[in-house]
Amino acid sequence: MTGTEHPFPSFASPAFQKAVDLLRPAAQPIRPAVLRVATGIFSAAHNIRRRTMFRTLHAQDASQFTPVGVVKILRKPLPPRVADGIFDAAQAVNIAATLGIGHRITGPLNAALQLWTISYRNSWTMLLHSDNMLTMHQMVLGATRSADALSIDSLLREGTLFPQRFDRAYGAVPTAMNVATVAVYFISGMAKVRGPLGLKWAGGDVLRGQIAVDGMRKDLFGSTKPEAGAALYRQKELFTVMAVVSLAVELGAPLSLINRRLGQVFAAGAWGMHVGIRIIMGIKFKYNISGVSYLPYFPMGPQLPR
Amino acid sequence: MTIDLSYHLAIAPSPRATERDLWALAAGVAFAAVLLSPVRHYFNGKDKNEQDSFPLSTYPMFSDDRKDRTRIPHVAGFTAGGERIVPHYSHFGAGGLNQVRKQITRMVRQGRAVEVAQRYADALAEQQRRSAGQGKSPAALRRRKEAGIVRVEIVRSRYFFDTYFAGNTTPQMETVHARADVGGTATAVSETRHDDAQDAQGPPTGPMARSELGNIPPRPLGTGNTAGDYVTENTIQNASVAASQSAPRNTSPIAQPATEQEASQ
Repeated sequence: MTGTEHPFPSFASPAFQKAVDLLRPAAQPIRPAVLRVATGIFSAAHNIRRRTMFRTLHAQDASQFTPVGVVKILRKPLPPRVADGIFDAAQAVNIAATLGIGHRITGPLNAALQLWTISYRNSWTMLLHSDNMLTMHQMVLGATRSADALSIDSLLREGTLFPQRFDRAYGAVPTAMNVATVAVYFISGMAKVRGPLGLKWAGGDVLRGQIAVDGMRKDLFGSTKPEAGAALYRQKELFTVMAVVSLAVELGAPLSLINRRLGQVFAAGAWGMHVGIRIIMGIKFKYNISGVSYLPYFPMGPQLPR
Repeated sequence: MTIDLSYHLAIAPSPRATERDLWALAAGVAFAAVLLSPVRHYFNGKDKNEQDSFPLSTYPMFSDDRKDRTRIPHVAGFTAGGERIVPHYSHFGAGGLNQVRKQITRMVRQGRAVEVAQRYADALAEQQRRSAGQGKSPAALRRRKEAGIVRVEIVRSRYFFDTYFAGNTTPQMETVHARADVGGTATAVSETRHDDAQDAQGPPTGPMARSELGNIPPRPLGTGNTAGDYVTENTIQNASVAASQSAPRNTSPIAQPATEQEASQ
């Protein structure tokens, strides 16, 4: 802690202190650093493997261009070579940020480049939802002090990869990442219960219909629907169970922020849900299935007791 | 000599909250509010799909009630013997199945089905000029299967889930928007085909029948159905009755104009 800070008397109430201890526990730099390294490595592998697909996408017919998010500043697509260059730059900067090289610059720059490249990838008529969480996590890590350990910066600056100090700024990073995670699941849950059926969505018929449509689309576009989805189609009760579990995980997501154990139970439930989606629908939410997305619920390193 | 182990053993108490923590929490609340802001579209009556964006999404997936049926614009290939073979989506473009599907759906809705047909016909012709190969990889198997395709059609097909998953993958109704011979030139088409063996209101195992109300059309607008559902049901019912009385299965000159909502399903 820096010694110049003075307590703020008006907010010295036990409730405020408890909230701060919960959401901003005094932790060591290793805590966000592990998340930076794990997320950065996943992103590098995930995106570099898709490089050819991105390049083909950038060269598409301009009539398919439907910009979303920050890409809305464009009225027409970038020349493919420029878009390819930005994509490659994003991968290079991600590697630098992951290694913790000049993170005060590469961190925010990486956040901006990841946001741009994935937004641009989603600007070709189809909005995919599998990269939202990864992008938001990278933005949090890029904008915070996540490279004060396990980084070239810390090695050069402090002579060690494992600085031994406590600061609430380090404990706040996993919380911010979990807020992004919660937002994804909670809005997904609201989308279901705010539909025409309301809470009757939990009956399972809608989910069953979605899985049926998804399997048929795979058939009708030359892919193959997962055998599990077709085999389970008639098990109506199973879809009721799955729908109830999905709603519980999604609408219960905010509870994961108030207690570490609850957070870990939520992480296990959400991971299981994605595994189920993978088996039954063949949809790969790779970031979620890898488990990296839930690492902030399992914080590394010690923190000062309340 | 005193050795302060508090850092290493983490036995020192947490520091008291400060003004800095107050501002940090306020920033955290603002951050959460921004991330959760798409939820407002579920209360302000706006279309969740139109409001979807990145990375602030409305996450509309898995939330639409499709009841017991769907209509899917796609591409069907046919061999010289009339066998129906689905060509792979990669003949159209990159980005994965769902991206190609969405792009084709949009082009059909915009009246650009001929362009889709031409692109598939050209891609298949190019593939057929090369050797299909002898390997056992999924791609090689697919190329050999597609080698027999002589014609492609851009269709919008209606399926009932229970019928489809019972093994009958013939569409109950199908509108043809464009047609192209492989290696040839695509032309616009306006035809509708029906499978008269299937009940236009769905199989007896479907939700309509299980509701004990029989295979009746959905309730009117405002009672739980979307505009697309209601229009679709009535449109198809009328078209299929007219067509089934006057034309044999597989040919009907009736072309159904696609509403935006239907085409986007």
